Amino acid sequence: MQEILRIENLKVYYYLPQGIVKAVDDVSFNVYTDEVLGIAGESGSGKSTVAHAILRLVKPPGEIIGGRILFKGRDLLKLSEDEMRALRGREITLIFQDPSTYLNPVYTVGFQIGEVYEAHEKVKPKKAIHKVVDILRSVKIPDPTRRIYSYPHELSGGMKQRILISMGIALTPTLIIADEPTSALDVTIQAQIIELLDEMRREIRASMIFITHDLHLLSEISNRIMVMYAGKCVEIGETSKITSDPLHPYTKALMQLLRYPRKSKLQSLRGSPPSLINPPRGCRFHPRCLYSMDTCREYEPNIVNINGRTVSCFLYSGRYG
Amino acid sequence: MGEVSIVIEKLREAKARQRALLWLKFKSNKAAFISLCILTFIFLLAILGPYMVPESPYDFNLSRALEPPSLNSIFGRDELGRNILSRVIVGSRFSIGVALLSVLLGGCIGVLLGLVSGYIGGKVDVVIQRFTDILLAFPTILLAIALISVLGVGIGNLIVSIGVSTVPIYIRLSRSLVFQIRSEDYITAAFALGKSGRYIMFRHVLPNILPAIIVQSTYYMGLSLLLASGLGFLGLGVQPPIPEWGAMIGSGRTYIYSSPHVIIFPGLFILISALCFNLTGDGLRDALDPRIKVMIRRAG
Repeated sequence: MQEILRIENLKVYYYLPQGIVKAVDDVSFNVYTDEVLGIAGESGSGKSTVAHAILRLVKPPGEIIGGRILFKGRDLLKLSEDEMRALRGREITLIFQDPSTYLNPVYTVGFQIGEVYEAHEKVKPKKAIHKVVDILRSVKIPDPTRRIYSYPHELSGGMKQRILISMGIALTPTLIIADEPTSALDVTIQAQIIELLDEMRREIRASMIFITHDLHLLSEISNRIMVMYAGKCVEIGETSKITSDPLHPYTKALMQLLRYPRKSKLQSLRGSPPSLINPPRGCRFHPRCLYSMDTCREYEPNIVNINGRTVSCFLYSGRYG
Repeated sequence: MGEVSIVIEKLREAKARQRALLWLKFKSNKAAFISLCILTFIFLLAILGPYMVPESPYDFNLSRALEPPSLNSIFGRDELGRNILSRVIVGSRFSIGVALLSVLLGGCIGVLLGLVSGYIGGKVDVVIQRFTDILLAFPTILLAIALISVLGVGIGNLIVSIGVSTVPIYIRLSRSLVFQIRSEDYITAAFALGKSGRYIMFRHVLPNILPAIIVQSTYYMGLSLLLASGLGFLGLGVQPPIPEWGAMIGSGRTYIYSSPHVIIFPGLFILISALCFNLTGDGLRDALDPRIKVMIRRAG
């Protein structure tokens, strides 16, 4: 399998008046061609920040302060703004969380899809109209010749997400980043959208990074899963291994919650996510960890590889450094 | 290509539908609707006036000076015996014309600078904003007077000086509107799809702030009209014998007690037009979008 994206020691900090928020702190992972990498984690664990960092969309007060983002061997952090712009929407696309706020209310959806062609292929949106109709047909929007002149407020949430997906795949990118694409939709639509997204991805043979807090969902669509906690990557592994035999205590806890979803008592992980301005010393998970040891309080665990799996925990390294 | 032309036709239909809805909402506001009718009437006067006046606004007849309103001249005659009805009708062309052109000029410059200032930010923003601060330090009418004294009197210079003196309020307004739009998700999305900053600025930010700008411009039409009349009154605006409402009041002010009709009629026209511009603005604001109300309030 060939590597399409490789992220090394990525650090994204937000400089707020209250202090520095280490939203993504020393995260490394890679994505292979034609695979789906799921990124799971609680709210505020840094998953969306990773997505934005890949496209260099982090806005002040946020800043990418270190690391390398290698896409097809090119370091995205070293590209000029123009080179980066040529990649956005063409090679790497981002599909956002809430479709209703990501469409411009003053234009028809047809025009907005046409703009994608305009931005990269220098054709006027009106000239691209048959392409727009085709792409809408492929994302299974009924009656596309009528729909393209609808304004966003005239469409349902599911429909708008289909529009956003069509914009994302219009130029057959090689990497699709889906940032919780279904969390703003109701449950019945979610499955359809996920299915569509996966189908489209297969069709254009793109890789996908799928970000969600829904591990159950990830277990169904992703090849590998990366679990993030408080700006750190705690575990990466193949989906089947992560779900059947989680290594990191945090992943274990999450799986525990997944396995007994219908218990009468609502289950939750004890404690709450740490502040990222003053993260706990040592391992960031230790205050909530069932297995925490003395070393966990003092030192940050290294990343260890066990049988092709990556985990960051002292239970497996046995030593610190 | 047949499909394409059908689609373009339908796009046009959709836009017509939007417009019909807007018109319906606007019509339901009685005050605004009546104001718009009056304004339309005044605009028609401005366009057609010179071809339909009862007598020439420039012909004077001292023997009939200061004649009160009668059937012969329903608005009466001024100090030189000129027909005030004719003068008010022809004057609408100058008063409304100056207001309209200066709003267009001030609006174009102001919105462009505000857009650049708000969207690009950084040093560009600082420079434009300090420039705005300097302009705002002068009261609008004083700034207009200062400019016209430097440029010299004349209709062109009047338009420029009124336009420029309204530039700072446009800059402030559009800049704060840009700030509201800039952080919208669809701007991020446009960026993520690889569109350039300039494209986003003009094609995504501008159309979204435009409704609010148009609404504010309606108010500024009233303001510019008052400025033009004020300058005319002071003798700095349109020069006699050209009939301009403010100038007419200015030259008639000595007869305010003996022959009030000389200033009442042009004054009434100024009052009514300024009021109608404001009421139309209110109606537009309510009809366009409830969000615009909030946007303008936030923008201050």
